[in-house]
Amino acid sequence: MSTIHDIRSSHFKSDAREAIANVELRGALARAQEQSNSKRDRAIQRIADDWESMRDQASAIKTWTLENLGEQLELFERNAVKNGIQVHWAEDAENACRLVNEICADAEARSVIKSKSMVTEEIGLNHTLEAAGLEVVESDLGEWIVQIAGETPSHIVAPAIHHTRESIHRLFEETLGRKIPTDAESMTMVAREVLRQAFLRADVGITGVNYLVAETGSFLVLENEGNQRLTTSLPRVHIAVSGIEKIVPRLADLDLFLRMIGRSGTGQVVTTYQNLFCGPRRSPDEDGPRDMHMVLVDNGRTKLLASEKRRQTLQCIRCGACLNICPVYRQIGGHAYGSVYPGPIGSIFTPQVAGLHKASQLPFASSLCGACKDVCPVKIDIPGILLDLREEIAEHGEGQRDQETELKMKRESPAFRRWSSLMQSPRKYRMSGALVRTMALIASHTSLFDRFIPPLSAWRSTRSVPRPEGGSFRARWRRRTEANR
Amino acid sequence: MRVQLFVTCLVDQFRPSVGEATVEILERCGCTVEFDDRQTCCGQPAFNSGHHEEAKAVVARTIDLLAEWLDEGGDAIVCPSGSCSAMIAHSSELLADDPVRSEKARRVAERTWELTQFLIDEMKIDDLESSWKGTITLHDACHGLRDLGIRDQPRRLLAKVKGLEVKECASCDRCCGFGGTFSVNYPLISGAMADDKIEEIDASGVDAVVSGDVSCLMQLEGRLQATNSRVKALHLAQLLVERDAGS
Amino acid sequence: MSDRENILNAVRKALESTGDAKSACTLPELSRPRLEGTQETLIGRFIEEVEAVSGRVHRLANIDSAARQLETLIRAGKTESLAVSRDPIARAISSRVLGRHVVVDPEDNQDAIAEADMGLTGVRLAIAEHGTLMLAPEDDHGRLAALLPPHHVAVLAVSQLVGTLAEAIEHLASDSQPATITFVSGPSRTADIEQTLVIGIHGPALLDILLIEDTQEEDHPS
Ligand code: SF4
Repeated sequence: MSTIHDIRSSHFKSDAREAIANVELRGALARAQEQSNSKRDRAIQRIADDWESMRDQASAIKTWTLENLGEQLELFERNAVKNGIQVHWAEDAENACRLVNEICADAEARSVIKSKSMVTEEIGLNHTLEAAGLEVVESDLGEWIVQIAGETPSHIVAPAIHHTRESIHRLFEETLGRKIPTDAESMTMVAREVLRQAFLRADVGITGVNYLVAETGSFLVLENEGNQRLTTSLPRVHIAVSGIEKIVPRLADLDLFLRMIGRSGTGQVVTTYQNLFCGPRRSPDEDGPRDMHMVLVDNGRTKLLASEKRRQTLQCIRCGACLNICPVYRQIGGHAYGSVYPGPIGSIFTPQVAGLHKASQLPFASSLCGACKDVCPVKIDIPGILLDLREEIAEHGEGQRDQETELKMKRESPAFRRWSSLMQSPRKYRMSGALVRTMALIASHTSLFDRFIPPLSAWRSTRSVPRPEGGSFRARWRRRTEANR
Repeated sequence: MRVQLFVTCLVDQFRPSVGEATVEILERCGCTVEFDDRQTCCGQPAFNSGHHEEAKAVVARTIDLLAEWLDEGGDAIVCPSGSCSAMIAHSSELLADDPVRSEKARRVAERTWELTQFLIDEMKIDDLESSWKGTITLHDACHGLRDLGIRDQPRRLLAKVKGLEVKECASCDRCCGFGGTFSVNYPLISGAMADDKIEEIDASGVDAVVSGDVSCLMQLEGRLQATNSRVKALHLAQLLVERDAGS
Repeated sequence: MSDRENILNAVRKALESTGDAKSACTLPELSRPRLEGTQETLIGRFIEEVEAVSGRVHRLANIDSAARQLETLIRAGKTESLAVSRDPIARAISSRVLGRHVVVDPEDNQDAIAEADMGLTGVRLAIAEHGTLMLAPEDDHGRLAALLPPHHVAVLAVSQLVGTLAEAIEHLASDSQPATITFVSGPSRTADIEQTLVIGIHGPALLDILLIEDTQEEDHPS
């Protein structure tokens, strides 16, 4: 069964409430968004003329690849095996974790070093490995911060974005049991020293994947810190874990995607390191892993292929731009979404992969402003898919909703049925309009009746109730035409 | 030019003066304005909440009505809301099961404009000889901006208003947090989103925040009032119609 | 049935259910960007891009001047030990400054390289448009010299410079693929603490590129 590790999206409403009360968090998020968006804008401005056609191309490549996914995966497998990579397939999270565990056991590993990978967060790999008695250390600075804090990442590119410098400093001093300077540079250098030791003792290195290249059987992973290079250079064994959708057909496709993902995600022209892996160490090499494994994970992705619209979800290159632009994410951060994939992409990916019943609030947790669709480098119609999911939940979702959504639908469904019949009759529309205006007028003066009308009290909890001007436009129009006669 | 005003339910019931201002502006541009009072709603509230069956019935009816008017020789349908105009633009997709209706919806969409889009792109008029003394900032309503590409049109119209100063806010294109039923399902998030904008608007020292959608304006106004701000929320039509007014 | 078959069957079934959408979609031809201009333009762009990501480029006439530049870097950085890859040009340069400090050979164990203050390596190619070095461990026998020491000095002949990433990938496609290729654009960096950019975390904090006009005296690696 496909699942997302540690999912708690059914608590969205209360988790979001907590996040909103956290002023420090919201300040950190707003600053982070401002910075990443202005960097992104600047990076894209330099190639402004080409950007839209690049998006079209990237989207078309991904569309084609998904439509030919079976053949492309088999091609990748054949070529990867030729390169000496051992390819494994995992239908769901559980099998993927078991596979990795077995590889570690075969390698008689005691210590594992990891570089940042969302799919391993999705399947909860660290827990399984730790349960088997292995030491697991996350080596990306942000991931390490989150790991020692006992949290999950709150952003798919910047895992510790919800932390301030002060909170990280506290965490470091507590964990390391010694005083360290408070500036970002010194803290980073402390992390370097601590993690360098972990690299040197690791037996297995685990990475994610950004692109699987079908025609060459190689794969590419991006990073900025150098931790991934270490993860794939020092340990004896390299295990890469990839969602099956990460595939591109041609080596040359990388050019396009590499020119887009850095600009889109972090506002860099390109990420500092782009590592292309074509197999384990070859004879003249003195270093590099002796064994290289690729674990291809489905975990519910194939379910998304059946609908052309929803299939787009799998085009995602995990750049994080939609999180950076999202006005909802800006207020609540990543943890409130209750999934390792938060924000706009998370709100479409999580319910489809983990199941509607686990995350039925997420598709509604959006104002449908469309900013995510505008920035997405592969042109995923996120608002369109949100609407599609909303329809499924509202109209066919009985028995598949969490409690909060079930309550909402109990109120909303009959209300919209009434609304629909009113809106189909001008007479009923006029009468109900007059009633609504009267109620609004009263409500703009007093909150006495709020408790009978839950949406009204909800509105008033953060806003005053707008006072209607008086009369309807149609009445004024009628008076005007009569006067002109 | 025969213009049908698609007034929208919110303007009809809550802000009729926006409808009146729209009529006056259109007449100033030489249009003959008509209004079919069988109009109700574009169907968006139900559509955006996932209740597509309920939405379809309403959308189909609205499309029939507007298509009929076009068939009788009407030229253009104009709407003082980017959001409702965008809904009309999406209608043919929603009605795809019913090919005849869907085709009708496509025809209606082709002849439907949001007000500022109509004035600038269709009528090629940017000077409405209006005047308004004061300072305002714009809020680009999401659906107009992203579904219909309305960004320059209101700015060009406002540039010609005598006595008016427009101060741009960096957050002008960030969502106000309304989002239909989102605003009552998640009032805290919705309110926080409004706050985020209002902070900047307040600090900019403007007299009013101006937008092309009444829904956003009610959200912003509701929050501005709740926080005792002196900034007003005005629809573009209400400002553009003025020939001699100030804050 | 195995996971492999289950996944591939699920893919097939899901895609069949959407009918003939497949025929409508073709794989787009790629535009292959090129940089216009002379070699001097390429060099200019390369330097500009490397500097934009906090790296440094030194333009040098020949192996001798490269060796002098290396000495300057060694002095400025108070470098005590240097790890040199087996790349012939790198070796030629380091042999000229030998004796004044410890040279760690990559064939020594990795601990020794980890202790080194500076790593000197060759590169397979460099890309002007993004200021990128393309490292292939097979060329210079070892990935660690460019990675473990806090200071990476890369040796690059002007003739190894190409314009765009697309060109570099074409080179790659025509050669047999080495086990690993690393594209390096600037020193290692992070911004995980409050978006504050810190240069030098796990990889080198300093990147110096010795761009050499004429490497004739020695055998060229490729
Ligand atoms: S959905 Fe688009 S914008 Fe969001 S992370 Fe994926 S690729 Fe980036």
